[in-house]
Amino acid sequence: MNNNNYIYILLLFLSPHLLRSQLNRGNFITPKNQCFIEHYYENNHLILSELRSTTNFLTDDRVKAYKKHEISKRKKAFKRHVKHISESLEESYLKGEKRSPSIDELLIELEYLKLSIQNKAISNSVSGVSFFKKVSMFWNTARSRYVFKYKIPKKVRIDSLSNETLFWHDLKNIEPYKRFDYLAKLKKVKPKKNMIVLFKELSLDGSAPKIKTRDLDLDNEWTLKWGDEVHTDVVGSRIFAALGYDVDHPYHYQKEHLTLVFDSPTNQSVTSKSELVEQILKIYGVDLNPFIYNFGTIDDLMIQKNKKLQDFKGKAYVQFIKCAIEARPDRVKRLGSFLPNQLANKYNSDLRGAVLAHHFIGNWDTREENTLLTTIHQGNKQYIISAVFSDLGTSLGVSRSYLPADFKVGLVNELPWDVVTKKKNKIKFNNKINEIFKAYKKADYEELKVVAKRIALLTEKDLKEIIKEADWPKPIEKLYFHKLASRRASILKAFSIQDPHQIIFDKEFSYAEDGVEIIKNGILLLDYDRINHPESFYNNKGRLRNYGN
Amino acid sequence: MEIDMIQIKNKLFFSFIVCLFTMFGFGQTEEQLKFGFNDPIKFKNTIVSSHSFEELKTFYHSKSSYYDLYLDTKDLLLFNNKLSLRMRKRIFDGDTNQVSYTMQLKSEMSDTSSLRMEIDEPELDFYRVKHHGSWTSITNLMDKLFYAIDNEMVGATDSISYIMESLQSWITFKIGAPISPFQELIAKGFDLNQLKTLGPVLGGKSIRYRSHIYSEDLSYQSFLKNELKENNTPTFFNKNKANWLLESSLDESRFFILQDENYKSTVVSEYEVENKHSNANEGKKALLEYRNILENNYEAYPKLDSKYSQAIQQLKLHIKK
Repeated sequence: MNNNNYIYILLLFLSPHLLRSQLNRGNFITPKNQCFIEHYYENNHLILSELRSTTNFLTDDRVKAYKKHEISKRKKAFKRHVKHISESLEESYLKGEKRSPSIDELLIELEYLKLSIQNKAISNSVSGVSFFKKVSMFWNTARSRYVFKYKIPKKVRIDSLSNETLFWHDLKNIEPYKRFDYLAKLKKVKPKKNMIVLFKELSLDGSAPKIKTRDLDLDNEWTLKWGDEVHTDVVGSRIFAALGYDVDHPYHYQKEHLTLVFDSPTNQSVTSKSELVEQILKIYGVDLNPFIYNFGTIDDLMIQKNKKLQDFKGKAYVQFIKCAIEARPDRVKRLGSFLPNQLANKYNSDLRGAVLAHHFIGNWDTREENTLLTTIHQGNKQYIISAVFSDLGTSLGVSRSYLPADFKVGLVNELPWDVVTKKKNKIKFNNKINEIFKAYKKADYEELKVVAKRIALLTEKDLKEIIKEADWPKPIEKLYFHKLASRRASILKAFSIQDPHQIIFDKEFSYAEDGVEIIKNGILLLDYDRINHPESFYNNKGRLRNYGN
Repeated sequence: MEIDMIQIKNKLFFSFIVCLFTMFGFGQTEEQLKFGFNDPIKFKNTIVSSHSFEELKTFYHSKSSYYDLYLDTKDLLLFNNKLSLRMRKRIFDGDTNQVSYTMQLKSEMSDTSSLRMEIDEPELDFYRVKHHGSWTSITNLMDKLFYAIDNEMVGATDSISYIMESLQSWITFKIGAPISPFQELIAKGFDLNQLKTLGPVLGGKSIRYRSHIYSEDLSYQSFLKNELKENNTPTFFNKNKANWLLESSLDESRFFILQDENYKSTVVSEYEVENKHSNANEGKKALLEYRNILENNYEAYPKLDSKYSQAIQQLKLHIKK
């Protein structure tokens, strides 16, 4: 055997993540949630009719409603996944197998799928945010500071970092800032340096202006967004991924690097820039004009710069000063919420600890609508279900207005330097969230400390690489770095964790450009480069006030 | 009197709606015509040579083999209800590495409409059954029967009987399981105990010759452009400036009664043409024009019955109850 072969084998042993190209499923069953699958058993043997009641509900397209709420179309891959589980369980039944942990795991997985689909049917039937929900959000925001206070226990339980579960994945062999890309690769998410997306349809979801588009491969899709979340979602998602959570995959683009093409004018509701602007204004009340960089019909000059535009010569296009696209890969099927308040998830330590990740990035919108249960096709018809923390863009400095009703994110001045303060034997978080799951309320000091240790493992390089992806202008990027480093340090201090990678930050950071003070003593002084950043990093008018445009 | 008329109209309207749902089910429907020929060999030569007619052209692009097991009760419950249920193995372009196993429930074409219900279970390879004391894939059992069909050894031998028993027991057990055709049969209201007696009745092999039917040169063609997306359009049309109108399959099939000592079999030959145009009316126009060509040049006659129905009609008297 020659030296090259030895090196190759050594590399294989040193890089186990190279051998592992899948997420581990982890364990879903806990002593607390076992009770939810009792109805599948009689005398420790499966009841076939109970099993088939669930599997038929999940796969039969004739079952169109749950409690009169319409069920979303069941995707082929989802049905295949359920049928695989069904076949394993039916074989166990035929073999007369007694109850076992492996059977329990499959049954609880079916329960997750069933309840998520049912929840989705109910939530889809409600359009917009109800008055009751708005009151609830207001109340949770107001009481956050009373909820997120913890007494430091006299004797701290030494919790080991947890095993993998639905809510958390052990990616310790991958550098934190690379975990987002690792997850993206698993899901076959392939953003390109210069993206071309094809208009598919308008979106009516949420409050941030967005549309649905198709990738050139026509298998995968992207949601195209504008506004104040285009940077924050990019950073928020990457920080969560760095901490071991599964996330959506947003990417920031600007100017000629992303081209939206209207490729099928006879079949589409929007066929030009003017129609797009008109519809976005109608649906979201946001004027897209300040975000437009270029538009027209694709010509030879454009094709010279990007050969992939060849097939679209003569078609209408638009490019934007800034935008974000979020992957909707074909390999991932989105179901409903990940059931934070069901299946005894209030006892789940990984979910409980995740509240610290929300606090770290200053996320406000933690509603159940922003949680997702997904099935991921990992190749060879193997599927895994994963809980996704979605829509992390309502973070990194949030300002709320009640009269008039509005909110704005990505306001660097609104992001406190510290996340948490420690006084005597208590720690207190200053972040406000608009939905407090039972899990978040019940999280204890030790569970949060587990996540704090993961935050401690983030290095300066991790933070810088993650922040770079947001494409913030230089002064804003630098200020966010200092703030995130400071927030990290406050967490480590509160939990008495020795910092393994001290990151130097400056709360008095100042920055000037061409003799003009942009940032002074850690505060952004002006509305920086408004032409190229129409959503503004400075004024607090959000999407409901057209970003002040 | 007036009230009676209203009640009658309501009943008729309700019956019409029920018929519509019965016909279409909740699965995919196709729009197609089917033909037989007095001289099937002459027509086959036309197809494999990619013949061009005046307005419409054909392109022969692939040949596939299919093996089918048709399931029914001993009383031919499905046949009598104008349905067919088959377990199929398809070999793409003669490549035994490109194989699929599916189950399909189809309705017979009605003479008032060329639409058929089709409910697919697209993959069978992960289903397992106990056979001779050990667990094996259902597709292994299917392959054993297909081997027997290929070699015309489908008589009532022990090995065939064991395979049939195992298949039968799998079907009996799986009737209430999440398998799409079974879900549809239960939804249609068939008696569960009768459905549990479904078993393989006929087995057969088909060779299918597939062709595109299209028009060329938009300036001369009298059809609107097909606006189907590139990923839904065969490669031939992405490479050539041609307008895809229809897709056709010429099938040569032979079916055996399973477990018959006399190896009774019958031959079915038919040509199916399916509308592929993004504009349904435009495709229908092309279908009717192609029909005229086939009738005028090849003495084609319409067929409505499925291969299963044709085979059963030809073999019915020989099938043991």
